[in-house]
Amino acid sequence: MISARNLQIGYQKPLGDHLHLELSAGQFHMILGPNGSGKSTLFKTLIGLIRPMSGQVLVNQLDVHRLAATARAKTFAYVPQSQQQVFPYTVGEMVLMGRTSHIKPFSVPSHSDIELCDQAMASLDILGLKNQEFTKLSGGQRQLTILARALAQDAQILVLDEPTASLDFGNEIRVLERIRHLADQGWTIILSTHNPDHALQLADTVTTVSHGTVKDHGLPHQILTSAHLSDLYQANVEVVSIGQTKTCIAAQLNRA
Amino acid sequence: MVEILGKTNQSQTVLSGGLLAICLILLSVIASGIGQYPIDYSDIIHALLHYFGIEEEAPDQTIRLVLSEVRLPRVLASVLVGAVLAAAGCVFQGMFRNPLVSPDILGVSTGAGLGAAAGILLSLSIISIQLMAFLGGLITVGAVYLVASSIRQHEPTLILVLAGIVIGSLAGACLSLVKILADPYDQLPAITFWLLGSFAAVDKIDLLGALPLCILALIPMVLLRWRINVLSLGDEEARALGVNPDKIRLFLIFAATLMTAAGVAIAGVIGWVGLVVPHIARLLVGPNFNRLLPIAMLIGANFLLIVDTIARTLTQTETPIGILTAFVGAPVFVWLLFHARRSWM
Amino acid sequence: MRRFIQCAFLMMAATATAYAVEVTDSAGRTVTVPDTITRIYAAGPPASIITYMLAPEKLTGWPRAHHAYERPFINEAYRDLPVTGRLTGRGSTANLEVVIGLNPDLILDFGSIRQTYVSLAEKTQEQTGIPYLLIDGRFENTPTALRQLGKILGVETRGEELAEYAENLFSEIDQHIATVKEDDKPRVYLARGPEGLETGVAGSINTEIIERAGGRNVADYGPEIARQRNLVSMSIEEVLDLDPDIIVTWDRQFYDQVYQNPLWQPVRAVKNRAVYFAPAAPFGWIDKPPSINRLIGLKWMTGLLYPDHFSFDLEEEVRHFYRLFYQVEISDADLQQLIAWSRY
Repeated sequence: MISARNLQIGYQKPLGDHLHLELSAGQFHMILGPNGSGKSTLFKTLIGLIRPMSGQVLVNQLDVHRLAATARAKTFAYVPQSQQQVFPYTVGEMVLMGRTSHIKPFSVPSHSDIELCDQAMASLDILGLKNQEFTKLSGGQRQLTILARALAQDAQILVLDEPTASLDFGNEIRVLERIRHLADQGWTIILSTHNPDHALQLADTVTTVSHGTVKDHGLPHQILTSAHLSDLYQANVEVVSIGQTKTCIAAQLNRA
Repeated sequence: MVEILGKTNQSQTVLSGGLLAICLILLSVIASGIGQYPIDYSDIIHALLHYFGIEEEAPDQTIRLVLSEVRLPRVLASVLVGAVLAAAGCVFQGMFRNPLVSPDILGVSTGAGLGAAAGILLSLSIISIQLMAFLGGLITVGAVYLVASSIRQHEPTLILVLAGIVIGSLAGACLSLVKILADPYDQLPAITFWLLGSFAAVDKIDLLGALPLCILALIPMVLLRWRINVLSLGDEEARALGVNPDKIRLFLIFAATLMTAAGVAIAGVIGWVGLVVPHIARLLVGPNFNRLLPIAMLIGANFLLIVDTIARTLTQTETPIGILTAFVGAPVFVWLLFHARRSWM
Repeated sequence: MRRFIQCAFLMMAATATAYAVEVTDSAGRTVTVPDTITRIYAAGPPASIITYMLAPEKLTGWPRAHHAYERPFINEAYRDLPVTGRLTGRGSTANLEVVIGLNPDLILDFGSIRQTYVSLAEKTQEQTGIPYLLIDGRFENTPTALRQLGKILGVETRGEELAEYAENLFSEIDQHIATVKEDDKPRVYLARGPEGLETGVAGSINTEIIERAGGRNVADYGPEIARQRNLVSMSIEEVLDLDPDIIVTWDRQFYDQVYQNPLWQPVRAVKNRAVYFAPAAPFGWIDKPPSINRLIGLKWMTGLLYPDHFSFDLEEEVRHFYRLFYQVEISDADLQQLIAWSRY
């Protein structure tokens, strides 16, 4: 569905080598990398928010960077990192903004748009927050609102940039459960994270990124080995199995 | 208007809008009866009846003249300028995602002031002075936009603000130069009075000149009212939601600048309205531009009408309106800061 | 040899003391000035005018360059003196180093003796070491100022001659005004600015010749206001309400359209076609700047207000004044242009 060819990413100057990447439809893809690895840049380049230094990204055989804004918004529904909003829009209004690409430029949302948004909020159990101000919500509620907005956007691919970065543990679990649930319903999802546990426990495929280029790509259980992760994060990481699931621990801390 | 939210918000908007509109009409009538030249309300009714052909007897010539050529144009001009300054304030605050922004942020007032001062220095006719002010405002903002868009950065709004500061202070320096060159006994006071703002010299022609420009500028704001909300989330999100922020921003800057420049050209520099009024409107009906724009325009119109009525009646001579809006605007703004919820109103 | 040098120093010191005089200026400051003054730096336009009238050869320069239309009315020898800026007024444009470089014997300021200007005089005198005189520029003080400065500058006869002109004019007017009842005095509005909607309030320096000529300034808001501000902005409603008998202006923009502008038609002065244009070359007749240039304006305005009692040949009077005060013979063409819109 998405294929990156000879892609070189970066702002103003290239971050790393040319990379190739193929992501297929209907799967939960995770992009994993330490802070500063170029993960966010790769991410935004893939969905057409940043121009590549060279190479191209095709989605359904079309060049992402040649798509019109509305066409792109119908392809990718993007959930950015933390939400710092200035104006106190209500949750309902925030979700409704997801419908923008389906609304004519000089028009405002219609009844059917509002109904679609209500459904999206209901599916994430936040319909009750509809008339509350977005700026007054907790971090988890905000993320769910933006997730609802992405659902209402009705795009082909859900794209989430570190959706749990500023959440506490409980909210992190709740938001990730929702996302996994969406993946099970058949959404194509791309999620970036710096936490290998997310990939080990939730992803269908994982792409590891370092120094602005792709380090490896494949099934989580195959490529996320202790050696690979230790190399990726430049720290002593050990992958251990607890029952059915695998998880990462800091080897050195464990020993001490 | 399509129902966008719960019933409460919708009806609240209609209610506030209705009350403000009634208030505006009442105030306009009252303001028409107040002024330096003594005119009774019975005279006004008489003149109106005559105008509509109900009353045969023509009213006193001077009363008719004062009403139709002086006072009504002035009342309408203050309503118009109040409304457009508030609208431009809403647009700029939303676009820059900053509630502390006023329509002056890109230097339109400084540019207009420079244009007018140059016109006064060159002893041009009044209409040319106004034209110079209008063009000065447009050219300054145009220069700011050109400078900003030639710098490729991922924070275009920040670059715009910085370019606005740079070009604005350059225009300010040119204004000072013009003041130095001006005749201190003649032109300098004229420039000073102009920069303080006043509706004292507004006539029908000014009004008829500014009105179409303001309506023209209002069109993109009304048409793009939903897109402006999306733009106020920030460039990246707007882009992801399917809006091209650069294109919309260009339209909006042009529209807001056009209407502000038209207002400044007929009334001089009037501060605070574009900064404070959007806050009050947001407090009433929330940030959704769909509701914010009409309510803010109504509040701005009411506000400037009241302030100008005070300006022309407080003392026998004219009190510059820019001084009064500052006296009213600054305390209101402080009050708003105290009562602001943690995020912006 | 050494003794000789000592002698020379003593002699120089002696000459310096012997040839310096102490004068008291209008602010009560005692200033030591050279006995013979040959170079005067005028601190502002009013000072440059009184200096030009008394002793143009001593003027080191003009505060600003003259416009083309002003040039014919300034004696050819002094038209092109260098532009030296102004120290006073709204915003100083003079460079102190330039002032020192001009090497004047005296810096002269003619005008307000408010504390601001007194302190400016003190400060500048200290910085430059050049004696700085402050002379009261109120219109009423004109004869005194002319005599006082004539004496200091060593042109006593000329000072006396000019002072007499002013004194005669003043007393002539005073005699007449004494017979006019306050309510019978014409009501005058000074229209400034291109819209005609700026004016000087009664009692301000900008309009004092209206009252001096026996008129009443319609913009009269009491002495309290006059102390605070000189110029105010008006609305046309206020002008309609004040309904002046006579409007005086020097703004061409305003004058050119006042008879066509429908807003001004109900005003009595416009109805009676009593809007008059005051000449402003080389200096204003009413104001601009408020200095001795206003004497001819005073004569003109008195004639305007009381045509029955003050009839004189305007052309002749203007020629005489310009000859006496500005030392210039004006051509017929220039004269016609000057007073083209000022006749009544």
